[in-house]
Amino acid sequence: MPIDNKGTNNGLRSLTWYCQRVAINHLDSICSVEGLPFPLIKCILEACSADTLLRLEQASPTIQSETNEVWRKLCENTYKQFWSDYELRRFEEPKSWKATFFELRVQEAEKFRQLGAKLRSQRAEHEERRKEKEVKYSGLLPPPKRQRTSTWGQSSAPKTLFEKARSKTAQIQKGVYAATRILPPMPQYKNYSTMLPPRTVSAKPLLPTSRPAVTIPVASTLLKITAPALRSQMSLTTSAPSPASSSSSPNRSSSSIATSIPSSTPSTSPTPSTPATTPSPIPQSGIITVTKIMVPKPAPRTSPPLDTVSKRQRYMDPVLPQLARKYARREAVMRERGLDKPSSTSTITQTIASGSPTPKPPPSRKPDTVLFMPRHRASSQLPSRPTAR
Amino acid sequence: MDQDVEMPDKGAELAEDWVCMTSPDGFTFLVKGKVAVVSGTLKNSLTSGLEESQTKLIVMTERGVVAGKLVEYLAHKSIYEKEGATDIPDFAERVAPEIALELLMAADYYEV
Repeated sequence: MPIDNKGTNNGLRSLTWYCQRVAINHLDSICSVEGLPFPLIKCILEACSADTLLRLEQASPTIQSETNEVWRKLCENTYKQFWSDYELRRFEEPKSWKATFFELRVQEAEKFRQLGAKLRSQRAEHEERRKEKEVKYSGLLPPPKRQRTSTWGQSSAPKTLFEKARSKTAQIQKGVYAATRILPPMPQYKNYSTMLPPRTVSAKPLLPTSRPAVTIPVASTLLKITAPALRSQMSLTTSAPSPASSSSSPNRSSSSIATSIPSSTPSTSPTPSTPATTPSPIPQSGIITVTKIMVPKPAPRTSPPLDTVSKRQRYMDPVLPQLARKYARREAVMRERGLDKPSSTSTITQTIASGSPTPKPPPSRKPDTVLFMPRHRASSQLPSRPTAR
Repeated sequence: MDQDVEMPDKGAELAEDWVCMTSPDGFTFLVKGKVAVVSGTLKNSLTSGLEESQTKLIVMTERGVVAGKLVEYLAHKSIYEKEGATDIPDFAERVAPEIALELLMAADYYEV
């Protein structure tokens, strides 16, 4: 700032001061200071930069000899580290502060250049590292995936389409049926029906207990009886036992057969005890079909309760007539087809404990139909199929 | 003539007189004597008994622009140099940068 030696006390400045201030404000507009006394422009030059001062010195050579102090001040203001060293008397006063100033400037430029290079390299490294981590878009295909080696030691060679399909289906099968192998399915509660009759509430054993045996004729057979023999028999036996007599003698072991000679139709609903029928004319063929069966009632038991016995009887009794009807039907069919054959004369009787039904033949079963069997049961437990039809 | 002749008070007379200031480019500035004596150089010239004091004519070597600014400052200063003046305007705003160095030289010569 210009020094105002002529200023007044109330703050009015001198014209010199005002002019110097205006000149300082417009240093770049000053072309030359030639002809100006140095004391007047000293404050102006001190306010100049090194480049302006150098320019003004070049434009006004007369001031070059007088600007050393100005350069000294410039060094003091610009390179403070150097000035501090100079004040500590580490080195002598240079002859030309102007030269010193420019030397210091060169050194500073070199230092800045080195720092800039270092910063640039660090920045470049940082950018490079950042770019490496970035996602890159390229038209190249990704590297082929590594072939998975199977745990079973299979080869990792590229498979053909057929091999791929086969392996895939094997995997699917393993996946689908793996669960079934791990745990067997829970057996369901009675979702199937059996052929056997249900047990009674009393939980009585099905096997017959010790009871007096009662002979009951069951099946009907084909008897090949000659006509004279039959006539002789017919004359002897004239009437069948009545139901009252049958009930009065429960332990009767003899059997009575009420024969009926059907003409062409099979017998219908046979009853356990039928009244006597007039013998019909005997056919000439000599084949008589026994259809009606009398089944005497078994002796009443003391130990078992009456309700269970009656239940059993009610359940079991219809079985025998049904079987008889069934077999009669079969025989009729066979007769029609011409497949019937004479059988033995003996009747089939079975000794069964009273109260228990006669063992029935196994039901005819088609070989294709199988009883429902839970999956968890072994195949050995499956019922045996009939060998012949 | 051994007795001293008392010179008349020229300052009082000068204060009311007009002074003519001319520039080489033909500009003439008439100022009051009390305004002109703000400049130390002009005061010495006008009170020294030189030709300028007789003729009241100051021939300046500065250009008319610079002389006019100089006269303007003389008037500015004659107004605000009194004690107790407040709100003094900044004369630097009235100085053009193109004439700052010439005005600086003139201001240094005329001791203003």
